[in-house]
Amino acid sequence: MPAQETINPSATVPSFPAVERYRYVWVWPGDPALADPDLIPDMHQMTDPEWAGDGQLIEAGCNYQLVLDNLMDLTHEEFVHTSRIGQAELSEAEFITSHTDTTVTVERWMLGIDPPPFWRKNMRDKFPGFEGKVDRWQIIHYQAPSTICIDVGVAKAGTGAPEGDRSQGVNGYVMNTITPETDRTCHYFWAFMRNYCLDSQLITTQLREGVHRVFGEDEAMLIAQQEAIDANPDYEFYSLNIDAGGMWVRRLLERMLAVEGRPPVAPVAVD
Amino acid sequence: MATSHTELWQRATVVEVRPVADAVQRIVLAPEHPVAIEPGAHLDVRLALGTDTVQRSYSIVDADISGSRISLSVFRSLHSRGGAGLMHALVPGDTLTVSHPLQDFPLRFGASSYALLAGGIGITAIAGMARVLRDRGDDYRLIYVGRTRAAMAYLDELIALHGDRLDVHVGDENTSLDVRRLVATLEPDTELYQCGPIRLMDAVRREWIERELPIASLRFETFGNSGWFEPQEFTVRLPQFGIETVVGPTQSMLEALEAAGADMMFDCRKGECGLCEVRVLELEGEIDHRDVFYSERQRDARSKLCCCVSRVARPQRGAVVTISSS
Repeated sequence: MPAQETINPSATVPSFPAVERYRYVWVWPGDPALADPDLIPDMHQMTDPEWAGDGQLIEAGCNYQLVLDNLMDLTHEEFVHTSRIGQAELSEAEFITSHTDTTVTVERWMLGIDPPPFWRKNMRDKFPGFEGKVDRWQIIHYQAPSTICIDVGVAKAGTGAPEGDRSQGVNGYVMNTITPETDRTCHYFWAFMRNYCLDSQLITTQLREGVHRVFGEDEAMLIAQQEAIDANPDYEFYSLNIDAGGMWVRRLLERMLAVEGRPPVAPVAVD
Repeated sequence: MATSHTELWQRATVVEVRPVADAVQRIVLAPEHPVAIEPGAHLDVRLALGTDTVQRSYSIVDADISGSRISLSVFRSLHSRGGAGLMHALVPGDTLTVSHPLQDFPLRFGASSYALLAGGIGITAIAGMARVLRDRGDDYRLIYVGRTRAAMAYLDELIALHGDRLDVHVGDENTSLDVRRLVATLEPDTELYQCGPIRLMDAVRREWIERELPIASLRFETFGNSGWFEPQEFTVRLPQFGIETVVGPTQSMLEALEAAGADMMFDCRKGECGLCEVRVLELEGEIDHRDVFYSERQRDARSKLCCCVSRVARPQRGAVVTISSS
């Protein structure tokens, strides 16, 4: 304090436990005694030297659970992202959902398909002049409460990617972690990491800008969804088989809230 | 049209009961909170079966204009899951817990022609639609299929009301319905509404797809209680949770798994949404698919089933199915 050697004892501000990890700052706004760095979700691809990439923040005009719903069902790519990553095979492919007390996984493989433009470009970055069919995967890893890391990629068809050999392919990780702000807004942090052409800032920039355009399509849909929910507060969600991943996320969140003695937070309008 | 699944429960008083066919009892209820009834609506009813409370769905056959008198008709088969027996035992003055009217089978107005197909007790969902289309002067046909005339509820009333627009097919009179011919003779823009045994509805669906008619014009309702085999006891194993339990003939696989402590995902509980889908790891017996979620091709794969309605069956020895869930 200027012109004094002491600090006024009542000149205090609140402090919160915080840990910097995976290029994010993790803050515990609740009971500081419960702050446990071991509970930070695994997003190691953000800082692992085997991976490269960058991301952005979306100030999303919707409840955070709508973002989670959207990420847990990637068949939306066929409808929301028709030009770059969507393709009919997404809705036709089988998927397997599994869960634990704190995680939900949805795995989908599309074998022997034509790569959509985004993935053809990525293949050609690693395999110049690549032509032909690919095996495509999407493995969605939800970690409670609101982190979703999606293992995505394509490999030359029939080269063993489903069995674990991805050497003939390109692999990305879509990192998403969402901080609720109000019941109708959230901070949506995302990044796209890759494990090939690690030194290319060009590719980092292209991927970030490309995903930025794709996520802009999601943002428009999410805002419209929130507005529709606000306009029709009594309208019921109609859940489909494909919503199993999102339904498990909601069930785990409700249980975590119940353990804390709090009512479930549903994205409904409040007058 | 928006459909409603939020169940609001109320008491209803039985005001009249009478048999309307072999093993079919008409039950007229006075609900606490009457609302006007749309064709295709049903009630869910809560019944105490032993120590359990079970829930059953029954179509509303007819009602007065305000919905203060609602008629159900309940078929009691040899293999009813227990609820039908309780419903048949009701007498005037009894009360029971019912939902407000639920609508999963709305009749869309504006089609150029309609075909309404009822098999057996399925007439309960169809009769109200036929009456409304008749009153509106729409172009419709009503096709009513049964095993014997004595088993066909409301047959005389329907003949009187619909005259030439009603086709009656009776098994023991050798006038069984030719499903292929029925579907082949429909105008391409006909909407078909059907309710009846799953064999009948599957046959119509196959012909419908074969003829490449618009799939959205084929409307149906099922409460998941009609199968290819009679319901029998079987064993279900869920190794990921270390669960093995017996599914009784009046119980669903989902109910048995929940009772055994399995954390199961589900939503509609009537074989429509597919959220309760489980993967079949091993099977001693046959799958009795009772859902409307899978296509014919998916059913043939025998690798998955909707555990809220579908069962497994094996003659003589009990069937055993080993599954994994989400």
